[in-house]
Amino acid sequence: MKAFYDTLKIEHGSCPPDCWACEEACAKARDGNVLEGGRIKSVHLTGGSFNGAITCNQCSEPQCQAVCPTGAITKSAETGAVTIEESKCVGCALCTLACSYGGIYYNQSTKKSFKCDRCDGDPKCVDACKYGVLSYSRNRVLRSHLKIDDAITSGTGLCFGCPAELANRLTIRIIGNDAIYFGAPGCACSNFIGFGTQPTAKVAAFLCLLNNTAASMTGAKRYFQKKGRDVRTVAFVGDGATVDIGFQSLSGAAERGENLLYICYDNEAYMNTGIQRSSSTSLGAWTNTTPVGKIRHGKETPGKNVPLLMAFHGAPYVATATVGHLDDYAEKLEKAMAVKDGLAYIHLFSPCPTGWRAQTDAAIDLCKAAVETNYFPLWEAENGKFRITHPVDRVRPISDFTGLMGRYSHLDGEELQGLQRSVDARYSQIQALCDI
Amino acid sequence: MARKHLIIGCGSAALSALEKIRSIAPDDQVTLVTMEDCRPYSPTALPYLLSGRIAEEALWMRPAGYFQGLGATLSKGKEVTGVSPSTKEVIYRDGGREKYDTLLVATGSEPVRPPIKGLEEAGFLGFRSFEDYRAISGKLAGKKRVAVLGGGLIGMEVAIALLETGHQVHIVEKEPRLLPLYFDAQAESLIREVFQREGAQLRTGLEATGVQKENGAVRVGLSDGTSIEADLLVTAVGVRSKAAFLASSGVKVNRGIVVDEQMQTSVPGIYAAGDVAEAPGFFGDTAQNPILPSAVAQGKAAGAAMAGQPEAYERWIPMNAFNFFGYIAFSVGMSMPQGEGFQVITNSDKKNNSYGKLVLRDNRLVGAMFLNVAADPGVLIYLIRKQLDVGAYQQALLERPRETSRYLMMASEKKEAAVLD
Repeated sequence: MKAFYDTLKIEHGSCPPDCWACEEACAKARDGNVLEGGRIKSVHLTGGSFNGAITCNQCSEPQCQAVCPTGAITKSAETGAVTIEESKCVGCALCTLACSYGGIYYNQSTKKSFKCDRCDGDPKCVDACKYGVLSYSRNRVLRSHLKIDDAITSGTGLCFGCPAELANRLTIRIIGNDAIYFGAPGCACSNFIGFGTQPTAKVAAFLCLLNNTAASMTGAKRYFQKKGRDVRTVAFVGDGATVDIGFQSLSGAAERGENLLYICYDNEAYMNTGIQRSSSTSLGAWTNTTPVGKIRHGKETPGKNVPLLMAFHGAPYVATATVGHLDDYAEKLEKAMAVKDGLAYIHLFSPCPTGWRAQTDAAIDLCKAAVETNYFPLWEAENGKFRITHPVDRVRPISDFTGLMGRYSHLDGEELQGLQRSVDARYSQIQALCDI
Repeated sequence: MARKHLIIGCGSAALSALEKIRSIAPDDQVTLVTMEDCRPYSPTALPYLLSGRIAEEALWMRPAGYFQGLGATLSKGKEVTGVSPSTKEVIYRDGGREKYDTLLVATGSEPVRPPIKGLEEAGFLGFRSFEDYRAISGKLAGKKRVAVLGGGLIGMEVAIALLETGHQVHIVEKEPRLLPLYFDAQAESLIREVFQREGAQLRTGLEATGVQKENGAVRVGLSDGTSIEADLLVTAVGVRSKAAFLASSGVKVNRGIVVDEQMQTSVPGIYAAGDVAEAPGFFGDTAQNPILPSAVAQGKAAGAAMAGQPEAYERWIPMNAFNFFGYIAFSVGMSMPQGEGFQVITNSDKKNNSYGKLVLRDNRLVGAMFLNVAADPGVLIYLIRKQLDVGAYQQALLERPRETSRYLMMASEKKEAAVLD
């Protein structure tokens, strides 16, 4: 199965001149001296025109491995790390010719090559970096949740930078192909129905109407039950189909205790029809139907708190998640899949760079900011027991979230305070529920 | 429909082709034929076996069960003596024939046997195969003095292994410089000093004129009238392509087998890759570039074409890394350019035994040579391939090659990523 690995990320541009902390920490940890032992190199150009750090990319097709005359270099299928088996390394240095990215070195005293192996998943250079240049994403945790390879063909109709695609693909990989997926008119439905006559999903998928997803799922589930099969039914639909038009059928299914897995990816407006407000659109946000002008200044009411409503339906499992906290999302999906005695509901925060007037690479940062400002707290309610799953140590002001996009750019100080109060009030509700 | 791919040879190019074919065509039949009787290895590693830097079990390039895992057949100890393109068959020494749909010649090279009087009678010892290694290591027991004919890469690496294991070594090279194909006079003088310090006797600018057996030892006569006495003589004066079996096949062979961008020879369906192939190079010349990274790239290109899905072939760039007694030297690209239009800048530090050289054309890096300098040859090759304008950075690139080349590489990568944005 194709998989992904932990990633050592280097954010160039914020290294101070003459900082060698990462290289020194590496050399110290790996028993070498600074000159020869550092597997990551601080790169400072004379005159200060560039300060950064460079290390091995752990390539998916490592050229160093391809040219090693004794097969001493291997890439671990488990961790993705490219490592050198020292007893097989002859020290010919061919690998240093093959690597275009400066990822491998020749040690003149041991007469062997050496390189970064990410300290077995706990890189010391990252600990040593005080400037936020180095970070380590432990994506490997996600791998343990994956059941199948990507089941949506490459090329989708979604906008540049849309994280709903990422979430959709990952959701199917985690749930697997032993399920029927239900979509509804919305951005991500193109993943299920394909383009023209070309299907894009390699799983059983059914497209509902905006108002009847939960009802259709109920029908399919019960049909198969009658035939003696327990079939998992999964909805992956937007906020319009959930919090507005489809809410009646969803509410009914929850109340009846239908065993459905319902995922709402929430981009806080009707995005694929041209950015019209939904009842999930937040206070003050611009959309084409909550315009900004002399009289109106974005949406005048806060968004409906649908995950909380679903918890109050008595659904056995309800959780919030974001596409920027995928390990948290994966764990919640597993819990939702385990539910057999009622409806499981996940409200998945999925920023829309197009409709939110944000940069196309901002989606993940938007999620992080939404959680860290308490705009979108991560919580779950298991059989009525509420719990914050991602506590935030230092809560950031709401402007750290609104400042990342254009849909709030018209807000003045007082309006921003209003939004802050609304966020605080909503967070204290959740907190109170967790304390019960 | 599943096809049958026959690969002659079992070195780096052959394995690279096999892996590529398998990634494209899981159901095709692949058979590798080798004259040797052991698991696949690279001749590059043999000197280190001689020096004891690795144990014999570390030599093998691929784990046990490798061929089985890939669903390929390895036929050992078989020699191909002819190819019949009209019937798509190879002919074996024992007269047997085998059909193929596509054929890859990845036979590599063998040591040249120079016409030196008495050499064959004294017992010719080359150094290219595992068998050669076995022969030499067997004969070395109890011997102290070794003469090495040839100061090219193989000769020098054998010499290092012997010096490291406490032998007295003479190196005879007919050119005035050691490693004349890879390093210039300035780099060579530093290399020479290190070898002399390690006890090597260097006899350059001299040819061996005759070899005589004497009381269990050999005496090698040299062109200046002197002679060397040694207990063992190793000859490494060059290699030649193993392509004689193609003589009547119609496949065009110069020094090597001439191939196009897809590694196809002049006969459709017959491919060649690795040391034996004369393939298109980055600087426009079609020639052999006998080094492992080129063999891997060519094997990959051949495999892709044989499996019916040709890929873009990354043309070879001259490259070499030479490590000796803890020193490291390398040359990449046109490090010793012929002709006009080149700008050469150098930097040497006698005290640290270090030397650096860059060759530029129109502000683009085309070659580099470094000895005992912290640099990343792979990154320099990247800069050459990308033909980046390094004009403003050339002095920095010479003086601090590691930092500067990495910065330029990264800037170029970011630019390409930015284009995608």
